[in-house]
Amino acid sequence: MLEQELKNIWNSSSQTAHISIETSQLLNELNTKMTKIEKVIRVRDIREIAASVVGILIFMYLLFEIPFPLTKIGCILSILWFCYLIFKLKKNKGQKQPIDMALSLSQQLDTQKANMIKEAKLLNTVLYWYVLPPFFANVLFIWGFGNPVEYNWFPLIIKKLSSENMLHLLPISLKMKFIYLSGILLFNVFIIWINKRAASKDIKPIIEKIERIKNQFETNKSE
Amino acid sequence: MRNNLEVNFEQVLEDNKNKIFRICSIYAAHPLEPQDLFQEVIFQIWKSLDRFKGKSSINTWVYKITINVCLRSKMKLEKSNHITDRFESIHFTPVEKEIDVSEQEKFNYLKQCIAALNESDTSLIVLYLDDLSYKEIALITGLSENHIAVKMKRIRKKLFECIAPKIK
Repeated sequence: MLEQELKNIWNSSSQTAHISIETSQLLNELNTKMTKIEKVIRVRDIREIAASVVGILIFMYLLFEIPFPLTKIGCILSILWFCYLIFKLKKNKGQKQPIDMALSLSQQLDTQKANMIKEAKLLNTVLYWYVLPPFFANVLFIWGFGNPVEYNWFPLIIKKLSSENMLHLLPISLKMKFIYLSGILLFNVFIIWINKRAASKDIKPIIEKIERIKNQFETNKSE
Repeated sequence: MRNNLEVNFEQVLEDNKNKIFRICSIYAAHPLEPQDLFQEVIFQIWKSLDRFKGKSSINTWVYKITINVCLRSKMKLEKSNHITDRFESIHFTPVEKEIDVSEQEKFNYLKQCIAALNESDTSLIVLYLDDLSYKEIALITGLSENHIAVKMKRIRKKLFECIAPKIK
């Protein structure tokens, strides 16, 4: 009796509001929404690749411009790392399973969990693929940076710095090399921290929530 | 092909809009309103319709999408704000005929009692209240019919205990 009464209450709830849909206008709006979402994704992808391409171009210029051998090696490694970064980001996107809303709830939760675990892994391992390789390249770049006068290397920027008596600001002396490297080290520590924080603050709670719901479905106990 | 899709889509909306909205009204939580969830479900149905293979009934398929979208909103998986951009083509107008206040009150009690359930129990009870068979619920959730039967027994008991004193 109560059971049927509840079903009646449930079904009568939709009689309080009338939903009218103008289909042709809706189809336009759906298309617009889809285009907007695709555009956001496209812009994000382009932005990620553009940053690496800019990095590649800068280090290619430096590779041909700077005469110091160790610094040249640093430039080559940086270029290789930027290429790897493009590959890594593309590969990571490809590995994520697309969200199919028509999957069963259980499959949907599994897919979500797998995607979130991949994302967390990516964030937690930035040290190995995002921090260490360019750091090593930066160390070579800065350590190998020599005195332009000894190499008779005077491009416009060096001429300008020299005329303004600011050559000492370049990583030529041991002291300046350490200052530069310390700055880079601190920046990299910040990158690791911010990624680990994102993994534990944003991703971990979602994984836990998915596991909790999965667990609720699979057990017959009440919470 | 496109025309056929539009006709089907229109029919799917017409047949399912009320039940989609009922479920959305249970899951909507600040800052999302039932209308926001409703149109997100509509968007996902439209996006997925050409992938519908007919392995299950279209109704079961619509329920799957509705529950998945609602549960995702609960887990706060959507990072973008597209979900709150309202469509102008969907209108929600109050029905002009006199609304039975006691019925509305009873529905609010029912909502309160459902809100006290956990996420998985909520998903199961809304499907049950929509008069779906255990077989259909099993298809939507991916659980076995037996498992659902055992769970439903407990959930129903819990719901009855909560609501019976209120609607007497």
